[in-house]
Amino acid sequence: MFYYMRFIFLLVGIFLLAPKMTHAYLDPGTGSFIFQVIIASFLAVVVSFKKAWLYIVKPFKKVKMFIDKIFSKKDIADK
Amino acid sequence: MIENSVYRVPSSFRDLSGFVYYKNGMLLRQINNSVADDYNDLMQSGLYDELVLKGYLLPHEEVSIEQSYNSEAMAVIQPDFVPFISYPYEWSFSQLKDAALTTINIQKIALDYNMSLKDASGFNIQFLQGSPILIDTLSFEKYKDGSPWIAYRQFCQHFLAPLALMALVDVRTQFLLRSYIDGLPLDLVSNLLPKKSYLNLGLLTHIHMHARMQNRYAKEYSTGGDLQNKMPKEKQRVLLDSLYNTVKALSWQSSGTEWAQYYNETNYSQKAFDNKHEFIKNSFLNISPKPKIVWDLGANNGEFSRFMNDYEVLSVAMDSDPAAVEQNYCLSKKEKNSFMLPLFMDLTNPSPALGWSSNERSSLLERGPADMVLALALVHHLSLSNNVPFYKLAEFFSQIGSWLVIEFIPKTDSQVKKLIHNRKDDLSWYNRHNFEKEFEKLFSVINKIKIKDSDRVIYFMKKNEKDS
Repeated sequence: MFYYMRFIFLLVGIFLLAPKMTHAYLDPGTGSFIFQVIIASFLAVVVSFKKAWLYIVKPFKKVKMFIDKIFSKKDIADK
Repeated sequence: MIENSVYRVPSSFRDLSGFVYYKNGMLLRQINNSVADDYNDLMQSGLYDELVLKGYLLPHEEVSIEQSYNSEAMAVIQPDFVPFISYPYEWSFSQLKDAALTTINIQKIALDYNMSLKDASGFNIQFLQGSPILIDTLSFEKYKDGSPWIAYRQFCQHFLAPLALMALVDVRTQFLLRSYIDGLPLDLVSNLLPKKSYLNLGLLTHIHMHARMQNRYAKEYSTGGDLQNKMPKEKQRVLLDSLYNTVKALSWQSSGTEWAQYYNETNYSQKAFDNKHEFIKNSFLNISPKPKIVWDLGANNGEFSRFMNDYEVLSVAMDSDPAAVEQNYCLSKKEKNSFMLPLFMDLTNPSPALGWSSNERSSLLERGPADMVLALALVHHLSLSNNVPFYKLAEFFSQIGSWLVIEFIPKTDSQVKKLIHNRKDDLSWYNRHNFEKEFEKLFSVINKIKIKDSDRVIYFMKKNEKDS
């Protein structure tokens, strides 16, 4: 899931990387101001997806841990 | 600085909310009426107390308003003393990284108190007792609901961009911070970073995309005013988490460089090593009054000034190898050494005065003199590799400190032999007699010994008082 989100970002990145002329009277502050509003929304979506993904895989992880635990105990008993 | 005088600190002019000045020998900060609300919020909201408790903000005491510089003052504060001011272009990778993480942590805490950092400049951070600390009390303003973080760009330029270059391109790109004292231009950093950095989500957004967006919107004359209420606090927290995680994930391994394994590969015997340690410690203990600040030049990982921590004396340990400085910082942090300040400094080209009117950032020499100077295994590098004559060396050392422990390594030493084995020019002037002759013009030798198991000689000297 996380890699999928990275892919989306790459696409957005390619879109934004289209070269633009630099203006002589440049106020980089304005661009940063607007940019962080956009990017924070994107990052919020990424975090939401990540949280949702972790929520989905959590029960499976628990089952996996439980199985691992049983087998590791068995191993110790065997020894 | 003259006693009983009022002297405004040259670097303190950018912020209209106040400034720093010396008055009657005290370093004071004036807080102007224009930011009375922000200052009162900082002090009364509990933010100041929490930041000071966590060691993130330099503590201060309020002094009488009569101490003000001019009539615009609403309050005057006396910040705790910072014994040595250092700059981001002198820090090791981990020092810059820790300073960056501290800045983000401060902003996160400030948001809890409905306040926000309006600056995220590397120059607002200093190292005090081994840890980064914010020294600019006037960096806080009231948080406006929905407002983006005004210092976002500055944070990226001062911290994230140089750290990314140091980690992914070359640690020596730190030198760019000397040229761009307002932080590295993001378009430049974007061009210099390798293609693989586009696969790093944090660098893709905060450097590459950010750089493009700056130019894009600059052309459209947008004010950004319509976005004032578009960024809820939760989103700013997401942005801060992203910056924090991006910085945290950057790393640089200092192994494999020139000096990284110096003490493992040196020609010292344990006996020589112990003898040298003992001489330095005895010299240090003989100085009265006790030194407050020592400059350890060519310090490597700070091996010979590490003991000063036990005496609560600050050692500013400078070296021209980024790996050695990094190792010193990491080791000092691990040992909880509060009196070691490792700095990157090439003595053949030390930090100059920089910025507006060439006095916004002080040169190395302007930040001296030190009470004591250590110059161990250094003279041969300066005199043979950089061709500095002995009289020039003596002059330099007499400018930077009153007490000097200096080591002379003759041409018979294996390390020096390596240094000069391809030299065809006449190096007969490089001998102990000439060294002593030039130094004794400016210093008195208190003690000297030949280090056991070696040809090296170590001197303890005191600068001669001027006759006038």
